[in-house]
Amino acid sequence: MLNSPVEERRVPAIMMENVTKTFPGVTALDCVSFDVDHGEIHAVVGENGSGKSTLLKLMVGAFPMDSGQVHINGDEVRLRSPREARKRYGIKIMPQDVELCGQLITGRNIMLGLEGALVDRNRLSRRERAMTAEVLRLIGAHVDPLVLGENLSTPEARFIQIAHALLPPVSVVLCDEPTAVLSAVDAEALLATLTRIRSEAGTAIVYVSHRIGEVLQIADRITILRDGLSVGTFRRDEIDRQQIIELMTKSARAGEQGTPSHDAAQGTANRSRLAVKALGFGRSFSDVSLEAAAGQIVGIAGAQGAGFGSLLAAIAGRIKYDAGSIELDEVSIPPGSTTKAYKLGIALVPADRRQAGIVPSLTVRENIALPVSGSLGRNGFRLRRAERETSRKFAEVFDIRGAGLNTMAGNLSGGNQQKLAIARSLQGDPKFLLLEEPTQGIDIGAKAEIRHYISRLVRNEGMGALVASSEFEDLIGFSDVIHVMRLGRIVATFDGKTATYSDILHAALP
Amino acid sequence: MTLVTDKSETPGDPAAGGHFSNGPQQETSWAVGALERTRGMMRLEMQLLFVLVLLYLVFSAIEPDIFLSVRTVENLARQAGVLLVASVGQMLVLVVGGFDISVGATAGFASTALALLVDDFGLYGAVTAALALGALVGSVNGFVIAYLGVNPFVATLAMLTFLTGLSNELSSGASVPITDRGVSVFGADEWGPLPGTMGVGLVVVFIAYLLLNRVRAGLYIYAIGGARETSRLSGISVALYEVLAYAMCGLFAAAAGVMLASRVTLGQASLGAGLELESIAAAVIGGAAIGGGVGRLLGVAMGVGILTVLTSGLEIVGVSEFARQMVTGVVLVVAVAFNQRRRIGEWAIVKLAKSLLRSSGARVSGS
Repeated sequence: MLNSPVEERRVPAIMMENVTKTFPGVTALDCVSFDVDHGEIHAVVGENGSGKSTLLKLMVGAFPMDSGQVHINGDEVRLRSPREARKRYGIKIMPQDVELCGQLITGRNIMLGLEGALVDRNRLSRRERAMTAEVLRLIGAHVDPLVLGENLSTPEARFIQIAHALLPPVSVVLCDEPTAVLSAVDAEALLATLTRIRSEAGTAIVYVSHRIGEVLQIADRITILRDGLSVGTFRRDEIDRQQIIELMTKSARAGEQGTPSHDAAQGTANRSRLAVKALGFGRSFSDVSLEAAAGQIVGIAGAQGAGFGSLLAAIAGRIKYDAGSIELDEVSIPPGSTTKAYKLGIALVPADRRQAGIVPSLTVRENIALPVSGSLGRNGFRLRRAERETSRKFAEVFDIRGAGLNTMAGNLSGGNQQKLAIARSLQGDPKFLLLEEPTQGIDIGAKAEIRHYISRLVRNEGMGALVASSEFEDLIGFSDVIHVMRLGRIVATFDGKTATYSDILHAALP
Repeated sequence: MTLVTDKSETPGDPAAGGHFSNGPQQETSWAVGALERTRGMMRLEMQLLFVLVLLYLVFSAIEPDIFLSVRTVENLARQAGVLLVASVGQMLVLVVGGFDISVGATAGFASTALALLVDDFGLYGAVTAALALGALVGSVNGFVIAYLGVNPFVATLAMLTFLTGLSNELSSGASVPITDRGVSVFGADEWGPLPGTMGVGLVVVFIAYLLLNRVRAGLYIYAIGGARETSRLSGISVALYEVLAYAMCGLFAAAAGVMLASRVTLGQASLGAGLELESIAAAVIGGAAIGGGVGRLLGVAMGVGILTVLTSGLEIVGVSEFARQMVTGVVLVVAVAFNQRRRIGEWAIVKLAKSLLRSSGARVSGS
C-alpha cells in the first residue's frame, strides 16, 4: 500500500517535471514542476485561474499534457485515465463537490469501485465491514456504515469521501478545496484527520486551498502558482502568510489601474435605499447587514464559497432567506420570490452567466428582448420594432463588438456575454443591480469596460449596484465601500478608495 | 449550525476521533438498527400496499360478486405477470438514469421471432433465440445511448419504429400462428397454484433481485444513476453498466413478449403495444425515479398491482377501453408529479396558490 523500504535517497510518490498544458487561448500551466513525498502534505496555493485545478487533473490523467513527464515512485509513467491512475497507481482525487450515491448505504459509498463480483447491496460482508471500520477509525469518523448516503450531512459526506479515497491501493490523495463547504469547526476536524493520515498511513497528500491559514497549519511544503507559472516551493517554516500573499499576487495588479471613481454625492434628495438587516440563510451566510443607495457602488469581497453568491441570490429572491429582512425604500422584499424582487426593482446578474445570465442558443437581439413583459411587448406579443431599436441601442451603449445583433449569444466572448447579461438585466428598469463575479473569466480589457459601464449606469442613470467578487482588485477604487465576507459573515468594511489589496485579502482569508 | 462535535475534544488528538455523532452508534443493538432502517425504507411500499388494498375494496364494493372471487384474482395475476416482467426491466433503466420506450415493440418483435423460428429450432430453441434477440435489442439501445451520446428518448423511440417495421416486414404484416402447443407453458398454463405469467414474473423478479442486491453490477447501476461523476471517479466503467441495464431491459421485454405470445399462441408486431407506457407508469408509481438512482423491486411490484387492478377493474365495471387509456395517462402524470415532489420539496403550483391566497387575504383585510 505504501512506501516499501526505499533506499536513503528520497523517492517522491509522484513527481511532475516541466509540465505544460495549454487550452485554446490560454496557457494553463507553463513548465511547472511539482512533487510530493510519502507521508507529506504538499499544499498548492494560487488565485483563481492560476492553474491549480489543471495541475490536479493532470495528476489523475484527466487529460493529456502537452509536454513534461510524470514519475511515480521514481518510474516514468503515462497516465491515460483517472481509472488507471486510481487502480494502478493509487492516485485518488477528492473533488470539490460533495456527491454521494444517496440510495446506497455509507459502507457501499466507501467501498465503491472495489467490490468483488458478488456483493450484497444493503449489507456489508465481514471483510468489507472490517475494511470500512478500519478506514473510518483511521479518519476518526463515527458514521454508521449502514445508513443511506442521502441521510448524511455535508461534513459527514466529506469524511466519507476521504474514507473512499483512502482504501487501498492508495499512495497519493489529491484534495481540491476540501474545506470550502465546511464550517470552521468541521474544517478543523478535517485538517486534523489529514494530518493524522499523513503520519499514520504515510499517504502523500496534495492540498489545494484558498485558505492560507489552513495551509500554514498543515502543509509541510507549499507551492505557489501564479498565472500558470510556479513561483516557488517553500518549506512551511521558510515563509509566512504575508509573503505567500505577495507571491500569489505580485503581477496580478500590474495590468491596469482603476477607473476613476465617480462622485457619490449627487442628488441625495430622494435616492432609493436598499437595507439588508441581519440576513441569514442556512449555513451559507448569517447576520449580514448592509446598506446601499442609488448612485452608489457597494463592493462585497470574499474568497469563493464565502457566501456572497447566496447573499445576492437571497436579495434577488432566488433563494429563501430564513433570518433577517430586506427592505427597498421601506418596502419589504419577501423571501424566495424572484417575481416580487424583480418588480420592486432588483436585478441579478449571476456568476453562472451561461446558465442563468444569457440564453446561449438565442441571438443577441432575442436575448435582449427576452423579458417580453417589459417595455418590448404588449399583451405577450413581441413588438418587433421596439426590439430592434432597443437591442441596437444596447449594443451601441455596451459596445458589444465584433458581433452583429444576430450572432448567437453563445458564440460571443466571455466579456461580451457578460455585457449582454447586464444589458438583459436592465430591461425591467431596475433600481438596484446585483452583480456576482462580473469580471470572472474575462480578459483584462473587458474587465475595465465592464467596470466602466457599471459606474456609468450608477452615475448617469442613478442606479445602485452591489458588486460581489473574489477578484478583489476589481473592487478597489471602483466601489464606494467594500464589505469583506468570510465564511458567511461580513468581517470587515473598508472605504473603497483607500482599501488596499492586502487589507482585503487578510480579512477575507481565514 | 455546524453539526457535531464535542467541543472538549481536541481535533488534533488522534485518539479523540468521533467528530460527529448521529445515527446509531456501534454500541446500539445491531438488530434494532436494522429494524429501524427497514421500517424507513419500506414506508413507500406500505403506502402503496394500502392504496392497492383500498382500490380493491372500492371495486369490491361496486361489484362484490366479481371481485370477491378466486377466478378474478387469478385473472388479475395473469394480467399482472406480463406487466411485472416488463416493469422490472424498465426499472433497471430508470435506476441507471434513462428510460426505454421500445419495450412494447421489443415484446412484439420477440413474439414474432418466436413464431417464425419455432418450426426450425423447436420450442426452447426459438424461445432462447427470442430472448437473445431481446437482449441484443437492449444492448443496441444501451450502446447508442451510452457510447454515442444519443438521448434515451430519441434512441428508444427510433428503436420502437425500427422494430415495428422489422417485425411487420418479417411477418408480412400479419400475425404468425405458433404451431407448437407447448408454448402455453410460458403464460397460458398454470404453474401449480400460480398462473403461468405470474410464475415467469416471479422468476424474473428473483433474477433481478440477485442482480440488484447481490452482484457488483447491480450496485453500480444504482451508483451510476445516483452520482454519475462520483462513479466515474471511482473507476467504474459507467457506459458499460449502462449498456448492461438496457440489455437486461430488452431481455425482460422479450420475455414479456414470449408470455403474451404464449397466451394468444401467435406472434405479432403489435402484441406488446402500450407496454412501454404502462411499464414506466408502474415503475414510477412504485417509486422508481425518472432521472435515476432510486427504485426498489417490491415498490415496482406494488405499482404493477395498482395499475393492473385499476385498469382491469375499470374494464370489469364497464368503462370503455378508450376511457381506460385516458386513466392510464392521468395516473402516469400524477405518479411522476408525486415523485417529483419528493425530490423538489414543494410544487411551484402550491407556492403559487399560497401566494395567491396570501395576496387575496391581504386585499380583503385591506379593503
